[in-house]
Amino acid sequence: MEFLVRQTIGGDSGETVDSGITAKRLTLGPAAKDDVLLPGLKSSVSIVANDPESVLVRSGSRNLLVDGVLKKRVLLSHGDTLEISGLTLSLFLPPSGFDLGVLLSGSIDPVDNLATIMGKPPIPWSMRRMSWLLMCAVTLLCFVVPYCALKEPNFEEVVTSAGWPSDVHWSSGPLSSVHNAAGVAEQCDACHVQPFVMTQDDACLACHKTLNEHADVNFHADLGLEAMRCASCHREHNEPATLIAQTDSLCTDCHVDSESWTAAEGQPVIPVSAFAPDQHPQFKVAVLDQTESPVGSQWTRQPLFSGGAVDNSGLKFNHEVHLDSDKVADKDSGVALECGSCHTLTPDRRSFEPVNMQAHCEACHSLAFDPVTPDFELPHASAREVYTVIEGHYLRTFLGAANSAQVPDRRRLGSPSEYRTVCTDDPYTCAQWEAKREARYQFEDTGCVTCHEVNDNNSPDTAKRYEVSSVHQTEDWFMYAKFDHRPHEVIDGRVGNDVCGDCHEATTSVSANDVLLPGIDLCFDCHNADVQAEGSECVSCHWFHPDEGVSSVLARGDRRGVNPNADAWVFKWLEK
Amino acid sequence: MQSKGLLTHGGRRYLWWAVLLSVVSLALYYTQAPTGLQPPNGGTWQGYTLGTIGACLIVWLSLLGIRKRRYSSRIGTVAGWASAHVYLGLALLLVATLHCAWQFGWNVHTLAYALMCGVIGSGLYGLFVYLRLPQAQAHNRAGKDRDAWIDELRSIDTDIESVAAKADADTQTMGLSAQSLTAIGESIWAQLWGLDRSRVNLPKQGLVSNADQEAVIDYLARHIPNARTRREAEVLNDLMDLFGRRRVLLSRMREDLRLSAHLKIWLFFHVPMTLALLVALSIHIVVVFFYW
Repeated sequence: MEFLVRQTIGGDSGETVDSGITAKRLTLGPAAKDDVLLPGLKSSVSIVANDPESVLVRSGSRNLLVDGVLKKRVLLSHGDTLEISGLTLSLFLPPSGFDLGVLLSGSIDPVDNLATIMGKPPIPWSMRRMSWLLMCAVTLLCFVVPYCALKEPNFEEVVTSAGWPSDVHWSSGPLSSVHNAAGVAEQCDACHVQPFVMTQDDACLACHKTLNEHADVNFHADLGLEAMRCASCHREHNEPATLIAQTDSLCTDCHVDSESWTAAEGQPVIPVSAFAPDQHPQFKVAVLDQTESPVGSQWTRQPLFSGGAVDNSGLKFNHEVHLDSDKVADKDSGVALECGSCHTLTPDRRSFEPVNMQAHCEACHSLAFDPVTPDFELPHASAREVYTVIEGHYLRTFLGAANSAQVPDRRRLGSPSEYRTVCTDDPYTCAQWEAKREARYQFEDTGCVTCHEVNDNNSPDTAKRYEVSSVHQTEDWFMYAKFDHRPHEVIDGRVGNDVCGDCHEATTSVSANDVLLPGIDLCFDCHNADVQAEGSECVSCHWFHPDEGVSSVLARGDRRGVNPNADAWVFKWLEK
Repeated sequence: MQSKGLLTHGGRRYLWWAVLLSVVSLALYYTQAPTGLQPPNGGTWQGYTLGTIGACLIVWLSLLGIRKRRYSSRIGTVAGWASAHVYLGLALLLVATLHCAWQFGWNVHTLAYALMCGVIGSGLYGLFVYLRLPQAQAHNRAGKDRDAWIDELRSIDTDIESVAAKADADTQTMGLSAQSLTAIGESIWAQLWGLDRSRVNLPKQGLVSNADQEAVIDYLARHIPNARTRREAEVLNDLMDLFGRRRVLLSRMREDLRLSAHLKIWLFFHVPMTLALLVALSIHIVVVFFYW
């Protein structure tokens, strides 16, 4: 729309100034963006064509004076006049080319206007109004909305879908990764069951059902353990997350004078004050005690490097030979064996998968026994099963040969010279004789007996004569400590045998009875509480809740629902 | 000067209070074992203590707004309160930071901390302008006040109108438009940055910027050599002289408005954020114990 604005300036004797403006609506006002700059006006005035005969005049403030009445909105027709802060506004018929003529006469004294501004500069906002606005916004968004969402599930859905603040934003810090899971992370009341009451054990034990107490809270009532909540030690919402307390004092406060304790089964609990020389006992390893006892063999703990620290696995093994590249090599690759050829870490990297015949030994130690049938192998089973297979094999061999009127020439390569090499008896006798000879060979000379302990009871019945000792491979040498191999797999850029050999002296071990574990002094080289070395905290190797013991669910069941802070004045006040 | 007394009041006694408070807070913070049951945070007994100190400080610091209006109050002097407000307000930043132990997140607790930082930040700016700007303002005013400037401006404008009446219509229109389109501090931004959005209706050019009266003075300077008569040259010369005086005066007025705006603007943040902080602090305390 084409406006022609005609301004008379300089009073009655002044000039008229015409300005042509193309716009949808004409604005007059103090801002630079206004089409007609009128610094005297407090706010902009807009003029929009209503119909061919009239226009709609609107102002940001109530300053449009018509018939003595101040208005914010006026419909102005040809012939009408309107006063705006001393200016007179009217319409006139414009020359051709223009749609509307706007006549502005009179003026606002510019100095008066400047004096007004200098006296009271424009303020962007009311301090009081802004204060109320901010206070209401904070209250609404930070308390009212989250609280209503907490109390009204339907509203909670609205809040969640709209991304508004909820009680999650009341959280004092991030959850640890284990708790940052569905059902807990977005559900504050999963743990904070009762408002203004500290998180109770019930909430923890609802999930951690298999947890055991460090000590029996009833038996050790004097320790005051029952006053400790789970959350007393396991503190959530912290950065960095420290759900498992690292402080040694949690352990050493009690264990430093454990000599005075009446320990179960007469076993003294050795005092510990820190993981440092002279402050922590030598390691004890779990070994199988095969001495006669009413319950048979049992695991006992023996100090390392003591006479009792013997690995009674029931196996025979020479680490020195197997790690000597001149003597043993991998059958497929031809390279020397390394520790990892037989020892594979468990997924948790704490212990090793058991070594087994099929995966680790059979490639070199074949169970084939008859050179005539090299593909036929003995089962890796009990002595009786093995003998049954041997006997069956020779019966089939000799009886089959008799039927075909051929006497097999039995010759074992490398057999002792005193053994007969050709059997001339009847096939059954020959088969029995050969089976017994093979059994003796396997169980006494160089077969099964190479790796296993074999007992010979000299029974005339060969099937019952031999007994292979059961194998007990130790998975966890430390019953009350854990060792994480992960941070120890690479040391100073070294891997493999080099690193393993730092702690395990396998290259010089000739007996499977050797316990190839390092003593505590070796650990002190890197982990020493006296020099505040990393990984010397108690919980680096030990855990507070034992695998066996008094169930926490049972031990703490009596205290369910009890608020330990119920006597605090604030709760009494809240209860009112 | 009164503004400098903010810092030196009472031999800087509140500075030493703030230092003492900071030392005690640091001592409390560092008694939290880094490898204890939990890292330093607001939930240890030291954290609760620091939080209580911080909350009390915030409430007390907010009371300055009330105390300074209680002219009959005998609880210390306003100057003393203001000095303590500055020093202890700065110490609050340390107390609150040690209370939260640098643990921040998208939650109401960090909101309270952020509002507190906003309040302290705006307060620091307020302190800076109170220390620096009054001197600059006095220097700019050179013994005059705003009323004197207005009177002088009115006098200059009257002279311009009378002199312009002797000039041709174009010059007259230009002079009068330069007067009516003079703008000073029409918005808060114009005040804060001393912006000059004045305009002038120049012959054959229409409306152009007349910031610092530059356009009109330039027009007059360019037309004086082209004056056809000596009288016309004198009129243009007089007008240029008057607009030159006008420029100096407007410049001082604009600078005065700029300094005043900076002296006041921080309060428009400081006070609303203080009240919002009091609400956020209350919510922080309630929800911490709601989800204990």
